[in-house]
Amino acid sequence: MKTTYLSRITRVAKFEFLRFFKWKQELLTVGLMCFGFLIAILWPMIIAFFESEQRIAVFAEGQLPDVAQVEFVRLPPVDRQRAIDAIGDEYDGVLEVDGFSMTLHVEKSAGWQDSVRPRLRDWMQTRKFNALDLDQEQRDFYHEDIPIQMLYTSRADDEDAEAAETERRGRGLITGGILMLLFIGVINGFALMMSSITQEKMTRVTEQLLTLLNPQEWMDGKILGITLHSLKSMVLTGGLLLLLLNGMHMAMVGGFMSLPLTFWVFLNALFFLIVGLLLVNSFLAGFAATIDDPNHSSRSTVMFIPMLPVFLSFSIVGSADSAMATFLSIFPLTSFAAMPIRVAEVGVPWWQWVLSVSLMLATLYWARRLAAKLFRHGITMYGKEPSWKEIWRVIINT
Amino acid sequence: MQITLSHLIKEYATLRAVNDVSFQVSEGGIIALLGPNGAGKSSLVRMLVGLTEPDSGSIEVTYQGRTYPHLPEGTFGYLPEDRGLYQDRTLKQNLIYIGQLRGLDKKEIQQQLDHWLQRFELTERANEQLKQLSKGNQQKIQLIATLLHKPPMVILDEPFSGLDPVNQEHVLTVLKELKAAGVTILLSAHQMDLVERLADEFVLMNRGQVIAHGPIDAIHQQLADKQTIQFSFASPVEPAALSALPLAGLSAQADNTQFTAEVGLEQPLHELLAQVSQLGALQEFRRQRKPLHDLYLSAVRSSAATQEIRK
Repeated sequence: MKTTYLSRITRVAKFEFLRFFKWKQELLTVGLMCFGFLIAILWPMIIAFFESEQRIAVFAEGQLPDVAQVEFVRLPPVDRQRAIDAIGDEYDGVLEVDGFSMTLHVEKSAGWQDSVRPRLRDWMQTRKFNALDLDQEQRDFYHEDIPIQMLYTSRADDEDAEAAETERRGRGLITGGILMLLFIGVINGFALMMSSITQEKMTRVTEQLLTLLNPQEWMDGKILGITLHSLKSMVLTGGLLLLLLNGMHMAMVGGFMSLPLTFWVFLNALFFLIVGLLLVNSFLAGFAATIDDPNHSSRSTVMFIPMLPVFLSFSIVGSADSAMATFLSIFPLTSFAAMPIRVAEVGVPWWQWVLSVSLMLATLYWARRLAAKLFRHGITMYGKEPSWKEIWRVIINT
Repeated sequence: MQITLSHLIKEYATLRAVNDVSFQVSEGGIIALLGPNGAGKSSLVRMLVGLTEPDSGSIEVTYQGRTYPHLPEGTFGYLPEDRGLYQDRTLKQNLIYIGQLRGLDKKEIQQQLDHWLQRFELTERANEQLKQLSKGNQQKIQLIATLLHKPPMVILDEPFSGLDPVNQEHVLTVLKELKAAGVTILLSAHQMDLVERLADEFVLMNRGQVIAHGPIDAIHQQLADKQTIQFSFASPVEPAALSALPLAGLSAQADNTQFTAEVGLEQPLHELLAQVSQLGALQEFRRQRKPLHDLYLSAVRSSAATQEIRK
């Protein structure tokens, strides 16, 4: 009949995970995400399908403009008035050209005109260029591509600059992806932790279970179970996103997409994401334990605070070697989001990494103890929410 | 298992919920904790199961040669006053979870589930979500969750609330069976008739204090100021002939053959019996007790009045 700490938190974690894991809902989520991705890919085609073609009468010599979804029809000058009278019926617009100026007659302002105007300007620029007295050599010289050679002082001279640029873009994709997945994980943890603890309080499960488990075991199991759920959501979204990007890459470029993701960057990101989610969920558990009824508690909004580190870390993407990035990657409440970005983008001195991990683990230990203490404190108040003063006293004593 | 509560005090912000409470709980019986709402019963029980700690006084639980400051883990089942289980999980999922946390293995859990679900006629609903059950049936699941691990002690806070009379009798039978199996039961309830039939000992509380404690006879001794006696003769006896006896509120029925009167608690009944039997051919002489319900009400009222006077 004896149970150990480990067996108890494993059972609570499994129960909490399964409590929110519903096969039908999971399949529905995957289906909806696939549908959303499909719509995103097909959107330009959908727009083109529903967009009607415009017809514009043109009174000009030479080559006609070439604009998608617009048919240009050249008419003789005698038909000018008839064409203008037919705007809204036979034509959507009439374009008159006088030298290097244009007039576009339309019935009223419409969305299609926004895309047509810049193309007409380009067309007129070409007409002006063609009117210049230039020979073929001068024209070729003008149209010649202007390359920009990039030289990186931190790299060997013989390194391919183009490859470096591709790698930079790939790293941006990785860091953006990490933060996006982390955001999904934190949101997931927020929703489930809030629901888990306040529902238990409202349905009065708490008192009976507290004679089976101590608050620390209960909180640890809950934090673990909900973190697993957050990780599941992140893996699911990340996997689908990767599939989508690869699909697009195969369709547009051919072959699988290659990301500059080394084993170390992956392992480091995974470690920080897991510990970070445990940390965030510990704080969320502590806050939720002080709320009796989420519908009537003003304290619910405080639970958004753990999302701040993720938002802050978006600001260091692309400048991971800045002083701010260094601070955020060491400070224990933001390091879980900032350190993976730094490791993916720049080299991090070993002592900074060790310091960051040590502080983060120490904070996690403290946060889970705080969650259990707040939970115990909230429970013994029987129907009353602890005041901010009481919460502060618990924080100080932990 | 032996439980001794000594001078227990528990205070909340502006209220002394338990005020100098002392009593003992012996193994194997049913003890009823009685008192109006706010009497301190639930606060007392929470200290006993270790959910809260007393501000002063002590709880000593002796179990298997060791002493604990509250009921040791795994030795008791607790049905709290504020109770509930996971509404969106099935009966089975809820009970398996509780069983696992109690450290039961799969086989034991299955055996206990089969036994108790059948006992409470809920076998066919095992895979339904708890929220689909009536309040009474949910109450039965709560009771199963309390008894699943076959604890030597059971604490039940209002076990009959939410149950219809048929199910109240059903639970009563289960509790009697548990008692017969040697389980110690501490319960609080407002259904006095059920409690009177069930309990071996009573603890009456009001405003955080124990106002009476012991078996039903002792409760009568402590709370009743008078006792009612009924006696009858084979032939009529003039009421005037009874005037010399220490009887109050004498009333005669059935042509002066049957009498009812009140007697002070200090009056030895065997002496009175001897005196009455000299007046005629005595057919019946019996003491009629006040129901527990009446005792409880008058005790609570007089306790409240006393406290008002003290203020």
